[in-house]
Amino acid sequence: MNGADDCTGDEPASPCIGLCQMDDETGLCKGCFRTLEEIAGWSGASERDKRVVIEANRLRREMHDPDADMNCNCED
Amino acid sequence: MKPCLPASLRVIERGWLSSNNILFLEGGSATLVDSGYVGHAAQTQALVAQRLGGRHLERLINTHSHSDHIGGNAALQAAHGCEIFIPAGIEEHITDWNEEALLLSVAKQRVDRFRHDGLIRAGEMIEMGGLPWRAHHAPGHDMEALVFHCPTEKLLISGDALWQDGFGIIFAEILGLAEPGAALQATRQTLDRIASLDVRTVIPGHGAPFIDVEDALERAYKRLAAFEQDPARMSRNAIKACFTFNLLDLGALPAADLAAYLQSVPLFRDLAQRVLEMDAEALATWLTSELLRAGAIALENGTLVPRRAA
Repeated sequence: MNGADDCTGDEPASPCIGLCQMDDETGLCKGCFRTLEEIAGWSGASERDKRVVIEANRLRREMHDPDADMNCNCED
Repeated sequence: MKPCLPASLRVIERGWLSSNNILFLEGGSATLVDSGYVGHAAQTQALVAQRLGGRHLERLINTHSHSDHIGGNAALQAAHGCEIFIPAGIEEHITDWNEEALLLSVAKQRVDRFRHDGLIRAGEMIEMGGLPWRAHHAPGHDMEALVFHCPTEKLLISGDALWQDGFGIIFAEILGLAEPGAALQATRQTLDRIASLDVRTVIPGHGAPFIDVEDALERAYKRLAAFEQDPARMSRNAIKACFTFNLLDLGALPAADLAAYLQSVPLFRDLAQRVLEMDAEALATWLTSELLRAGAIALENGTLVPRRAA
């Protein structure tokens, strides 16, 4: 996981948008649509695996209402 | 090129509201460096548990005492009974829970109160993940901050003293908590110290681990020189960065309420009056246009929201 991999030097940026709350129903982060395993493993993942996660995110995002929960993390 | 990190070290890369969490696996137990923001504590707990894989979290160590690095301390302490180690020099603030000294009331940020079990002093060697790490004092962004250097692996855990592109806000300078120029000078000395260490890979407090250390230092020195030449720029940057941070925590803020909100936060109120010589309305107008232009926030139906596009 942490060793050398087939990267080209063009590492995809983390899809985190700072919402960082898991949705108990979907098991996905409400912000970036990643699973816990995908978030926890992001830093050590290969470039190819990161691209797979990003593509999966895009599909998951389309399946969910992209505006849902957008303004629901007000805690004050 | 992707940094190659020791197998006993796992970086949980987070965003800007929460710092990265660095987990060291030590046989049946583990050590964590920095715990993220309090609003993300539930996810931090779940991520750490996922990475622990049944190991016991024995120690939690903080690089410095800002809300995005200590926000998960209380929750992790409650869940794991881990011992918490903080940089020497801030123990009174933590024991007395001095919200002003911890910049919580000043910047309107939140942390759940925790108790610490021990201190780490600059110069000390500690073992994490079976590797030797020396704590170095890294004042500037936070005057008591530490960075951790592993000479055998040439790794640096830099906290907010050095990022791939810049470093954290120099709070003591903009808030006038130190003699004028002193925190800027400390920042320069911290960069000099980092430059003097044998470092191949930096694990920053925010962003991905990186290996182009010389380039990062060059950018940091350049940024510092710009602040030294024009201190007001530092305050403008701080207002933009802190408001973007707070908006991530709030989730949304009606644009019509922005001026009142800025007026309610000592950091914004003070800098607007003292440095920018703007009233709250003028600050709100300036800030909105700057952050919209930079793409850091969006305006949706009269409400300011963090830019959510990934």
